[in-house]
Amino acid sequence: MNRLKTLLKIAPAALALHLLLATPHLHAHAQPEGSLPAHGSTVTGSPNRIAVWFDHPMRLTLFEVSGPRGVVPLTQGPGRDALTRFETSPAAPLGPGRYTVRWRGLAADGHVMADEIYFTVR
Amino acid sequence: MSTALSLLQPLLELLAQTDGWTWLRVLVAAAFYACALVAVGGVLFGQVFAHPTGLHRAAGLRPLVPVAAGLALALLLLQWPLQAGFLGGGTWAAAFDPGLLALVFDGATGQRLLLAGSGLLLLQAFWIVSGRWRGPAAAASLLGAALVLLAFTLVGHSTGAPRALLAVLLLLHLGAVAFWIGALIPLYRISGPPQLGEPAAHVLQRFGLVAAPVVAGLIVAGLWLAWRLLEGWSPLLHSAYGLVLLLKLAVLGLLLALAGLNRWLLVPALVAHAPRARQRLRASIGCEMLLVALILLLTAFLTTTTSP
Repeated sequence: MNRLKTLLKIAPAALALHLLLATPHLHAHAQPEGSLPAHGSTVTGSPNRIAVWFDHPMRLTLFEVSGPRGVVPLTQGPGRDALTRFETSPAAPLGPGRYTVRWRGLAADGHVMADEIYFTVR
Repeated sequence: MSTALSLLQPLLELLAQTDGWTWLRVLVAAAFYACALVAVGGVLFGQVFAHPTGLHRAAGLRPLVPVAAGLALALLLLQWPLQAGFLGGGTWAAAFDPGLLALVFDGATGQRLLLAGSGLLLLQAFWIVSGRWRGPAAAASLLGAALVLLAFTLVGHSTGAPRALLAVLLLLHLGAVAFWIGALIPLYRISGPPQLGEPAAHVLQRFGLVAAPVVAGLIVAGLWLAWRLLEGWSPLLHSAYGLVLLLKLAVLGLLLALAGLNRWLLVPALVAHAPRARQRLRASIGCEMLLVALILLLTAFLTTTTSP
């Protein structure tokens, strides 16, 4: 009976230690590294490509470009696969004005990430 | 003035980007932290202080721990569709999109949900902790508390390298936080009725003695964790994460001042039967609860909206 009591007392600590050490070292936090066009930049004429890239794989769930005429149709949306770079193009040339790229995604460490990038077309 | 504004610029930009859906996630996360830590801390308080049966009852641990754990479980489950909804652009349709729900569940968030959920269910054993099954129920509650704390280490920046060190630091920090937060409601309750007399005064005095090294550990582990995550002290003033962290530390400073007031003035006054000592101590513990709520809100904002 005493042995059972001792086992019950140490079980939580033993299980916690086991889980702590056994969890794979796979989770890494992803950070956005850059974008195309760059944040805050001004480009002459409509950009052919709109891209964002990260230092670790990210599962993008939303990638939305909006401008003076509302949401911009894109040739390709994010596929929710883990990737370090996502690239797409506007379905039609962008007119002059200020544009916002809004993206959201899930990093491998389970952290929900989001950001907004601005650029101007002249 | 302009220097102060430029220092606050990253925080102002972040606040401008924070939408209603994100605020909802922050509030739910803060409420989850509060309920989970009250439940875990209640178990620790019961183990360390509330052995006399009368005091255990007066501290109100039996309804407190399982009810807080039940609320935490509901809030934990609510976080799942809220995350899916955010990922899909902040709509209720996205919140219940099977693909997004599966995406959130698949990985670290799912592991955290399962581990914390199991721990919170095990904490329901606290209903029978003073009956015939006292031993196994106490062991199940301790296991539940350990699982809940461990679940906190499965998501976020603390999962980066060196993983084991960051996870141990976070576990130490959270264990100490739970010990402190979980003691506030029981201490508030036992400092009320004068008939509890000497046993209650003894627990209040002992808490002051035990809490000192625990709080010191909390601060050391927290600062070390912040230094590892920020990779230095410079981002404290130059990032939204650092600025919110500074705000959190400022509120923690106020909380420490109140804790010191309790330990060195108000509890000795209560032990010496000074007039109105009970009311003053209860008011001070009430203020501590408000400051803790503010710290948890800032922590939830920190973990939901920013990264170091």
